[in-house]
Amino acid sequence: MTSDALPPLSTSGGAGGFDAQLEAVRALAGEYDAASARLLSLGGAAAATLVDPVLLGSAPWAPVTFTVAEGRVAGLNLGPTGLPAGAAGWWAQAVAVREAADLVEEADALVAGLHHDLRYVASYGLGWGIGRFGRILGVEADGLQPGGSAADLRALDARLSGAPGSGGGAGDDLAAWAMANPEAAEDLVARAPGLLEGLWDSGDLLPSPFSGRWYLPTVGVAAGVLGLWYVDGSPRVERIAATTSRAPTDLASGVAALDRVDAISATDRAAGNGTIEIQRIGAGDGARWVVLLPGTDDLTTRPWEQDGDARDLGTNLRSLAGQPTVYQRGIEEAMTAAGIGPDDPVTLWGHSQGGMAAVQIAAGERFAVEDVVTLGSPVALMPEVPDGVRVTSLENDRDLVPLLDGGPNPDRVEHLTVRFAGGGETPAAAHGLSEYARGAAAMDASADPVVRHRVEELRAAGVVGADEPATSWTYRITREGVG
Amino acid sequence: MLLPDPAALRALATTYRDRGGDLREEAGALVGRAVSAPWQGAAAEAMRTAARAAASRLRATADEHDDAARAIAQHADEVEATLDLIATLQRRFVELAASVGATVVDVAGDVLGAVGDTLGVVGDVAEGIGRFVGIGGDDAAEQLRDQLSRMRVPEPGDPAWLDLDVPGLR
Repeated sequence: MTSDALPPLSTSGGAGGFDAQLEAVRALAGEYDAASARLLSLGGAAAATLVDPVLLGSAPWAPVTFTVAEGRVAGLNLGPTGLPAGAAGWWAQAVAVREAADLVEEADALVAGLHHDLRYVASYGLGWGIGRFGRILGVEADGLQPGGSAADLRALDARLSGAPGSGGGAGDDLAAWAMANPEAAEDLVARAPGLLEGLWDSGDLLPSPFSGRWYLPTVGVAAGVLGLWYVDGSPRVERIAATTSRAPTDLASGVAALDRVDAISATDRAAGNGTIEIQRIGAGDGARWVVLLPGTDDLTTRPWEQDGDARDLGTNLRSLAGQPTVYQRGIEEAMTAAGIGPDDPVTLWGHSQGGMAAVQIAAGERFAVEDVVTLGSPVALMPEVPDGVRVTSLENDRDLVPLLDGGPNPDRVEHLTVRFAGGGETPAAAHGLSEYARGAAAMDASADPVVRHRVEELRAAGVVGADEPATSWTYRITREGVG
Repeated sequence: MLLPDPAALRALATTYRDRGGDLREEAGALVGRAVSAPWQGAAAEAMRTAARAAASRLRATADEHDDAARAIAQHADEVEATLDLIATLQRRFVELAASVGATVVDVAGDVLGAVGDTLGVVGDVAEGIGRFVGIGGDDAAEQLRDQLSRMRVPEPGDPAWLDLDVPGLR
């Protein structure tokens, strides 16, 4: 699947996105407003000319031409081509254009909401029906509900593990199908909350979407409810090492740096779980900071198996729900310990869960985050970052992890999502940083105007391009308060 | 008396001519922005049509600014010509008065005579006397001297010079 050629790219958001188009249309309305104001001002100036002593005082010396000149100047404020009429015309156009932009935006939100509700009701109904049938057969999903007993959950886990079709073969087939059909897979994920709610409500006599005991309208809410099974705990932050490195020269070298940090917590090196790296480029007032955040160390954590790993499934669920996590708090603690002040410019690079944490830190505004680069992160449901913070999300088309938020990333001028037709035979390979290095290299080399615009922005901001030495500190974040 | 300033009037005309140019440029720019806006569909086309129509009216407004500029410039020319004519009349009046030995006093009580070239005035005296002698002899010159001496002529540059009715002035 992987070849040497750089993968093709597609984009949403950024300088070519829907939000950017609306912004351009509203800017046009602003220009019409400005034209209207200028014409009004010229009308006022023409009226002032009529009583200007220079003109008025010259009347006795040439009364005929004075009258003609006064008539011409007075005429500038009269009739359909007069300045006030022109001002009114451009003002009316500005209002119309702005209204149209608002209507387009509202219609888009309305259709999206309608689509969401229809999907929710359909999946709820399906879940309710399956739930009723399952109850007849003696299988209930109630054990997943928060507030249930761990014993019930373990029993459900055991039952599902032994159920027909739950073997590795079926899972592999499903993953292969999802990797080949990312849009359909994302739609399926988006249906999961309604399905789960319907399953849980199936103990009732009648279905009650929107108004039952549970209301799981989004993947984020459902993830937050399931996340209640997990303890978030408190972060423990240790400084492991200090070394020197170099600032990223381009996006690919930024991904390579993150890959180097990620390797510290490879599957066979659990002792390195929770490791992050903080780089300082330059010194004094001109210093810039780069924080490299690897992703999940343990994706299959069951509630009764939680340990010191901060980057586990529970943290993923909390992140999807937009809730603070032990990983995010640990990163912030490490950033403070490294000497990053609240006004120091910071760029956050995050892979998978690390990207989610990066967006959460940017949204928290505790630090002056200027840029966030996420790689294979489901960030559609993350809290909104403040205006002025650029988010660049790189997603491999075959990577299932970015699909787990069940929807597209925000289409904002400052949030550019770049999808690349990458490789990866297995979900793990498609999610791996070696694939993302290829995607980043494709961005570096891209001639697409939207991608180029963003790369130039990142270059201008010093996120990439500065081949400078950096001082690096490695921290390890673990969870305390479990077990 | 505050005299009109043709240069200031011409500057005013230039201002209006420049505004006309600016408006014409703005009309083109606004249509350009409307056409290049990333907005497609029926509403967008209606907006572009309306923008073109409004820009066309704006160009007409620009033309009207040009007309106003031309009218003001023409007025400036006329004012300047009138001032020149008044200066000529005043100079000839002084010459005439000098030729018959009259003293010219304006409405403010100032004695006129500084207008024009003194040598030219003196040179014209003989011609003036000869003309009046030709018209009516010494009596006529005497009569004219009395008339001119009694007159309170307008201040320099005053358009009332245009209405002055003196034999031999024009």
